[in-house]
Amino acid sequence: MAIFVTKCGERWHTQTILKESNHAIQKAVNELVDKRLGRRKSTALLRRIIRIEASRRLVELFKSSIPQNPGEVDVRPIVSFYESLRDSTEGRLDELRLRKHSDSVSPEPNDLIILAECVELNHAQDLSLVSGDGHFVSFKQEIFDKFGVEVLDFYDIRKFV
Amino acid sequence: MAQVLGSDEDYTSGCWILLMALNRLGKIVTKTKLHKLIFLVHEEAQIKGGYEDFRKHFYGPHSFHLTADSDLLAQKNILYKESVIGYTEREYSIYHITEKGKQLFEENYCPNSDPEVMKRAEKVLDKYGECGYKELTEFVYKKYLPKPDEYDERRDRVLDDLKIIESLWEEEYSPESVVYVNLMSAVEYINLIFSKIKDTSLDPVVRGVLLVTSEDLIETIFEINEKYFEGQNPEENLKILEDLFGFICYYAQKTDVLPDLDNFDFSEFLSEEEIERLQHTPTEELQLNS
Repeated sequence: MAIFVTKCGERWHTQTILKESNHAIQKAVNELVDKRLGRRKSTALLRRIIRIEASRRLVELFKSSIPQNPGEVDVRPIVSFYESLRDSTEGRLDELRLRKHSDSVSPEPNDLIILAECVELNHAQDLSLVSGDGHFVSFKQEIFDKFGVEVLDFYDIRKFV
Repeated sequence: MAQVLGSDEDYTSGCWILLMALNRLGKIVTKTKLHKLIFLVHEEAQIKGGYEDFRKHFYGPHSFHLTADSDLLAQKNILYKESVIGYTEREYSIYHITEKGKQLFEENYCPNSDPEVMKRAEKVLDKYGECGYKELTEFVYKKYLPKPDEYDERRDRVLDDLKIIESLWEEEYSPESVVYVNLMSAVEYINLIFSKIKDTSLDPVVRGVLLVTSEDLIETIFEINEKYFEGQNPEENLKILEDLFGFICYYAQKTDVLPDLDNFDFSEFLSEEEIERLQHTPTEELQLNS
């Protein structure tokens, strides 16, 4: 999950953010159902229904956000950035990979695009990237130093809400 | 027509029907509607040639040549395929004709066409052009109902296929898998439908439509299986699955076989205690970080 926030408090999103949010919802719903019910059989329809309801609420949430179209973005600088982090961050990326049960240290393709879109839009207006994703929040300083984009941790913000 | 568009071999002989439909209607919402509409133009306007590969009991009916043409014409900016995420999260396509497409059609096709064929095709487009995709799907499915003596055998085959799909996907679950949830929820839903329509007093047309659409949905799942287990991307087939699932939900609700998904009663699948546990989930447990 991610969203862009301008200095004057406007919330911005892109089509990639919408798609990624929908993807994240299914994962959240599945984890919730797994934990709460402890079974998988005959729960797929339930999972779909909860996801649909959550997606509806998300659509409502995005109605108060301004859609942006940064066009086709180049993700190569973002990929190179994460490759360079492998050497400089003393295994933090590997830790993250293990935590996410992922085969790759690189963020998911949509997350690469989201950061590239944020960098692109940040050229015209100062933006912050609000997210709970470890690939962003664990490297706040590095992302700011490299791209000038401030990363705000969703879970930190929530403490003040 | 093919020469005007570029290479002789790139396009099928039905390409003009697709262009004429878009030129007449301006836009067509959803791939399902596009296929049903072009199919009806062939059937009711008695067009010879065109898309001859329409398969009536597969995605009911669906033409791979039509899909290929729409992709090619979109690449050449003759039509524009817009991807939209719907209110209930389903992603669907809207097909528009571009200015280039209009010009191409009017300058190169219209003067050389058979006015009688054109008139018949336009009449069909005017008749069905305003119908929604679900309405059109229902109309088309009603044309292909099973014979009464075939029903039991075909229903049993559907139920057997659902068991096969369940066992194939049993080990494929992961919290990230949207595909698993989409497929298995469709399987659960079809199982539910057949448990509800055991009653033979139900309108045979309703039973027939639900059987035929279930067969199509299963065909689509087998297509997805093939691609998924061979490591290919089944994205297009998943969109068709969602269209079909959307139609089945709509039709089952409309005919009072099952309630719509918003009002689903889960007491048949979950114990009271399980429902309670789900309802009292603290928001802190929702980890939305992917």
